[in-house]
Amino acid sequence: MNILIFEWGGGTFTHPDITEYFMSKGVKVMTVSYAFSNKNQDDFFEHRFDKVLAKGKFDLVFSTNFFPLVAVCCNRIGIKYVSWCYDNPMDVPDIERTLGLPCNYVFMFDRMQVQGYTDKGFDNVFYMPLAVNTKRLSGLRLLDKDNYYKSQISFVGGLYDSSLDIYMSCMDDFSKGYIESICNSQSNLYGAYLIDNALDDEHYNRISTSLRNGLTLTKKDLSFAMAAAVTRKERIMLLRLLSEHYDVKLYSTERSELLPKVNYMGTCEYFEEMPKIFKLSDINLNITLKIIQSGIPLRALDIMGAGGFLLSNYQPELCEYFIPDKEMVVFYGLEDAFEKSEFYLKHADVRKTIAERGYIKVSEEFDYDVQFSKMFELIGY
Amino acid sequence: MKSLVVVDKSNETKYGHFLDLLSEILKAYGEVDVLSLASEEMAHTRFSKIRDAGMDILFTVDLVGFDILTTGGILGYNKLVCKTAHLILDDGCLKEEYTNKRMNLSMFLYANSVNILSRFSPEVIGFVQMEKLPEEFMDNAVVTKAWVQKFLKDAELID
Repeated sequence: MNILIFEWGGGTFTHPDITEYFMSKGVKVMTVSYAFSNKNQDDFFEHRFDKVLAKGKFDLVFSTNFFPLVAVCCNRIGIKYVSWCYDNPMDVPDIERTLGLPCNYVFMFDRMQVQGYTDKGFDNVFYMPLAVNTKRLSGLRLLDKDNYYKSQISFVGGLYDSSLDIYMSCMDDFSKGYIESICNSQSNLYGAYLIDNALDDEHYNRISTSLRNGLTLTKKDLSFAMAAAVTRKERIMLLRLLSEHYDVKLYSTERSELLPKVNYMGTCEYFEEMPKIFKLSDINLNITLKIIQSGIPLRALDIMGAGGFLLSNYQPELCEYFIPDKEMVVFYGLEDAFEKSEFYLKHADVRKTIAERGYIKVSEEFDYDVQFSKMFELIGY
Repeated sequence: MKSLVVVDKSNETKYGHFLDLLSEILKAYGEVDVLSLASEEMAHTRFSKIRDAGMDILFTVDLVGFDILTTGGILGYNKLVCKTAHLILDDGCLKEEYTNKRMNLSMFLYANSVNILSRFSPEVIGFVQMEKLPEEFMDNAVVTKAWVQKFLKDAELID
């Protein structure tokens, strides 16, 4: 089998593990990359990519996340294009223009996201949880110098800088009040997503017509800005609360003045540094971006796959695949997160057992071998 | 169309005449900047200088900046949204670790000799447009101008 992997310009976290997996199965793999300024329109890319496809005699093209022009080129010559998306929402304007092309097999990790496309009539969008390379992670050896990563509580991730404040500065009082009340209701509510329903056509049109200063806003952009703002608030509030009592380390691109007691550690490298952080932290937090309505974010799998103890906000699919309090722990609000942190920091033996069980579940059910076998069966290989 | 020519600071004098010549030719297509990078500067500082120039076309001389990698080990240049011509004028600049770095589809690789180009890994050779530079490329304005025109056409930046 001969697979061409298309990769976004600067690379994706999953590319080395996916390439390694394909090669371990005897698949011949080639990778090409490109950075788009416009994902829907780029004649140069199409000409170049057409040549690559013509030259290589590939059985299929694979990419992490979906790229419209890759789909267009694949469709032109009738080659299957398989994409596995770890972004939600997808950063692809007008995705529905190309998503339905017959060459496409699009896998998404959030069941609600898939349902949304299925409801719109797309029969080539499938559900597939994400995966981790537990073989690589289990081979990682800790050195004395790695004690630097030791911590009671760690969080690896962004704080999400939302544009909502800017948008709201261009709205009338009714719209501001409406959006604030939805965000407040969504905050600390897990397992139910209110934002999209609250932004029905009537309310969206009301907000849209109230915009000043020439601002135009799609429903999708407003929805994402609201989800990001709620996520930011939740992340900051939880980290602030925990840091009042415990040693909390934050690995992020952004330092916040609202978190004076959090140890800001800068960013971390994905393949070696991040697993060490997860292994050496008593508790690893996962605070999911609100727009991921039901799926298991890659970060949660990264934590368990590295043998770390996971304390996550409630996500429906997390509790569907993993046994709460046995393989990982979920919280349902700030106070719950604090109380559970307090308990598990005092009980290292329980923590260790849960982390071990979580690792076993991930290695058995969320390995690349498992997920790709399901995907290729569905595709017909 | 904005062009950026990047050269290592230590090569500024050596290639002074060629840089002047190239810049003069590129001016016909828009703004031109020449950026000298000091290798002792931090990688992310050097990369920011390149990225922040906001160019449509990038020319690098003797693989300057090929040591700038992302956290995933990918060539930093792959992140840039522009067409790029990497010019290998001195064979001595080619390090083994540069020859297997994946280059994205918007890149073109040019060298003074075919032997140099053949040292790149099959994955690079397979998908990146690689060509030998014409004789007198660095000294003859007519030759350089014709090469620039061909590159811009190949990169679909001019008709």
